Amino acid sequence: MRGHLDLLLLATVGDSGPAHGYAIIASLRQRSLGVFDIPEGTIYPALHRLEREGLIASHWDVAAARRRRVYRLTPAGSGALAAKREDWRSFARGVHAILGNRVATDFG
Amino acid sequence: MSEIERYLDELFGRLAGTGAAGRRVLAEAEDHLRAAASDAMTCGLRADQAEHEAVTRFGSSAVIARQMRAAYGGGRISRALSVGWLMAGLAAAALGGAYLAAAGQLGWQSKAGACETLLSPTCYSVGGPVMHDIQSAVIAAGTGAALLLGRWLAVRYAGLAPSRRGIALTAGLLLGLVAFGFGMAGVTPPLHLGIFGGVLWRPAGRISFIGVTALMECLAAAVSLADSPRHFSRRAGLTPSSGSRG
Repeated sequence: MRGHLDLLLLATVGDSGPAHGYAIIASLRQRSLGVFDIPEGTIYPALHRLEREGLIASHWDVAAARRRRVYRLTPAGSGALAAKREDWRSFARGVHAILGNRVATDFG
Repeated sequence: MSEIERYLDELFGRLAGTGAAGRRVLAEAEDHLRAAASDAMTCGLRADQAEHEAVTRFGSSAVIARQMRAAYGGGRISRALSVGWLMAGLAAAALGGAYLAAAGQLGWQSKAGACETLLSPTCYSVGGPVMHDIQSAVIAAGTGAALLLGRWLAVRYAGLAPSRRGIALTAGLLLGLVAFGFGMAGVTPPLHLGIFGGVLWRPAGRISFIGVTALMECLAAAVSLADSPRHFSRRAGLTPSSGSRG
């Protein structure tokens, strides 16, 4: 999880569009069917780091009842997300090639 | 004070010195926690239960503060510099104290019936080697004070990471013990003649390093505790809800 948080955050922000931190963590938990139930506060340092790397951008949304920081993907972030997705698919294919058949055999 | 406010106070203390980034994450944390508590209340929890649930799910303030510093490149390097700076300041101050104690011991003139306490200035001579010790004490203590003040300013205004409570406390106590050891190596105090651990002595006694070094140890520990972020937040009496938001 630790090494994949950046990819998951980029994917969540990229797929759901501009969102604040609370919505991002809720979406992450919901889309992962509860598997990625990380301490919610830890996404903020990660979001700040991604912003410093230029992969996401943010602004204060003052239209809501409470002022909220809204994050969105940058063009550089979109490119990084596409590259990381491809890396992950390749990695997953490799893992599945090794474990997938064995799992099928064990349970078949 | 609600649990959310207590948590935000704690986070505020741990983010001391992080400037605008710290203020921003604090504002985000408050928004997040209040939204989470509100949602939990909608699901039927009482207000206190909802706040507890929100804080628990948010995670440790220490972890978040550490990750924030790391995110802004101020992680290990800043903390190592901070601890080194603190230890240098405490060491210089302890050295100043040791010199002062040495000067006192060297300059003490026991006058039967006249010198009841350590604090009587007429009981000291201030010539020769004593003056050298006093000069050294002033230089070392002044250097230590300048280092500690400079570090405090750097933590407060320049984003230098504050030391962890345990590290600062351990450093302070170790330095105090080192000073105590130097004192013990210099003279074996006649404990039976001392009052209050050697701070006050009868004329027949000699100045003991025990009192001075024990006092230095307490001061070092106090400096270390004052250095901890948690103490700072309590002392400042600030709550995030009353502070400015960037």
